[in-house]
Parts: sequence; C-alpha cells; structure tokens
Amino acid sequence: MTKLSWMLPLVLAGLVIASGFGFVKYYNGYEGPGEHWAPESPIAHEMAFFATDMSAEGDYHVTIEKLESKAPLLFVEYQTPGTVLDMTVHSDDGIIRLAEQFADEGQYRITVQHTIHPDHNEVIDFTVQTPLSKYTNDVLLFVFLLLAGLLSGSRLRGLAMICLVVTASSFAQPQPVMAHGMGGEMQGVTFANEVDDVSLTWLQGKAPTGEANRTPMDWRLQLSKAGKPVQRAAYALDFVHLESGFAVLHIEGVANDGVINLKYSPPDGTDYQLQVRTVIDGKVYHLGLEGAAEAIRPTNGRKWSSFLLMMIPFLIGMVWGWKRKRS
Amino acid sequence: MGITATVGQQAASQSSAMVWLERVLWVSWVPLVLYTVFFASIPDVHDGMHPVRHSTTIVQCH
Repeated sequence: MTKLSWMLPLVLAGLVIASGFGFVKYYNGYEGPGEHWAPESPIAHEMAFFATDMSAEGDYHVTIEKLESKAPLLFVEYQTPGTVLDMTVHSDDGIIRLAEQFADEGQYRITVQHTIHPDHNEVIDFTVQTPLSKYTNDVLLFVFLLLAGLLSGSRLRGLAMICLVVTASSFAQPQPVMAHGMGGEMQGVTFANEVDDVSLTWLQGKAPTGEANRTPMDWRLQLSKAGKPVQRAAYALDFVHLESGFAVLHIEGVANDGVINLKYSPPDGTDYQLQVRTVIDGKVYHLGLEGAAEAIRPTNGRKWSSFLLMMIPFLIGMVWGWKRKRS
Repeated sequence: MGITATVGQQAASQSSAMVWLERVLWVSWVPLVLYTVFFASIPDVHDGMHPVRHSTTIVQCH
C-alpha cells in the first residue's frame, strides 16, 4: 500500500478532472436544447421555449397536459395532473411557437393538432426538471438540521459549532421566481385595454375566476376596432405575473374575427395581466387586461409531512450529539 | 443555619428550573425556527419568508 502512495496525487488529479467532465455532462443534459423545447427538459419556474413546424397553414389545437407529478412527498405538487393549457392558434406559416413557465416538475405532454385534419398532429412527451438550486438548498437544509440537532443533543455552546450552523444556513439561496409576497405591489409596465379606437375585452364579458394550478380558466380575448371585431390580426400574447413582472406564458398567432382563444391554468395564485401586441392596419398596438387566479393554500397534511421530514435530520443529529456527550 | 438552608433550597430549585428550561429550549428551538420560517400562516411572516419557502423541494407555499 505504502509503495503505491506516491500515486495518490495522480489519483486525486484524475478524480477532480473526471468529476469536472461529469459535471459538464450533467449540466449539458440539464440545460441543453432538444428537438422542440429549449431546454429539452424545461426547468420548473424558468421560461422554456417551444417551437414546431407543422408545414401547413391553419388553426391548430394546442394542449399541454400534466401526466404525472414527481414523488409528491419529496417534490411539492402545485399543479395537479390534468390540462394546463388548451387553446386554438391560427398559424399562417405552419409554425407554432410558445414559451411557458411551469409551476412544478413532472411528466408532461404537448399536443399540436390541426383542427380540420386531426391526423396532422404532433405529440411530444417531456419532463420538467427541478431547478438545481433547490437540490443544493435541500442538502444545505439537511446539513443545517443535522448540525443543529448535534448542537442540541450535546448541548454544546462552543462558538465554532454555532458558526458552522449559521454558515450552513447562509449558503442557501432564496428562490426569487414566482415570488408574490410583497403585498400586491406591481412592477414593470402594464398596458391600457383601449388605445385610439382599438380595444381588448374579455370574450365572455368579464374576467374569469378560479384557482391557479387546477382546471384551466377561460381567458379568451376579443380584439375590436371601432366597436367591431377585428377581422384578422397577428398577435403576440404575454401572460404576465404582475408581482414579478415576468411572463409565465408567451404565445403567437393570428386572431381570426379578433378572438384569442386561450384556456389556461396559471402556475401561481396572484394577479396577472394579459398583454397583447398586435398589428392592425399597419399600426402596432400594446393592449392589456387584468385578471387573477386564486392561490391554493397548503393543507395541514402537507405541512405536517414536510415538517416531519425536516425533523428527521434534526433528531438524527440530536441522538448523535447525545451519544457523543455521554461517551 | 435555618435561613441558609432555605436560601440554598431556593437556589437549588431555581437552578433545577433553569436546567429544565435550558433542556426544553435546546429541544424546541429548531422546531420553532422551522415552523416560523416555513409554515406559520401569519401574513407578515409569510410575506417576509416567501422566497425562502420556495427554495426547497419539500415545502409548499402557494
């Protein structure tokens, strides 16, 4: 063994280089683009971009369904399995483009189907991944709880131990995305629903009501000019989360008879503005309408299971510290 | 002599209470911190801690 000890630096160097390659391979898989989505496996709470070339003009029925949640005990299930997005989009060049921010991880399916020729379709199954920072935070929380348990178990009051606990807790990064805690403050630019004689209204006459992350709500919009539906207008729709100022859904298309046909279950219970950029008679208009989705509060069962999971490392640490003190 | 004994007993019972208080605090400080940071539904606490509640995979905010 001692004869081979001179090799140790080489082995260590090899291990570091191999782990570097391993990390790059993992990272490429984590954020690399795929055939239709970029990244190939969208990351929850981050915008993912989708495009497909259907090679024919027409109305397309676009749906996004959640097929399965990822281990709900360990990965909180915000969106229950079911339809997330259900809309008809007209495309003149056959290209369907959208961007979406998913509420949580799991197995999903996107379907793009021609409304007149249903056999002309594309069905793509994909996975939504957990953000890497959440794994890091989970590990740091585990270490914090283990050390806190050790401290309590041995009732040490040494400064070094407290410093370790505080250091471990300070490494964790808050998750700023979809944050909606600032008491309803609005940031960013919002638009009026009427500019000159062009207006944007709810097709059903009023803003929809319902819960986020559940059954899709009816967000259908009507574009009008001088009180009459616009016959035909290209549009880009951003579904903006008002408290963060970021869009959670972006979709492009052509509104026939001025209708933008959207049913959607937004990823967070808060205020939104549907911002439409459209070109009518050679002029660009930015119009907006505000609506809200209700938040779903965690159940007591969910709170308790999370709390008890967190108590496991604390209790392990306490027993460890207790035994260490006695021996 | 009697007075000294009484004072001694009082001091002993006080220090015993302090030991027990300390034990209870050592056991309960982490559950209290976890409850406040991740689960308390008081609006100001929720708003203050909101990004932290979203930072792990096992805590549900809303």
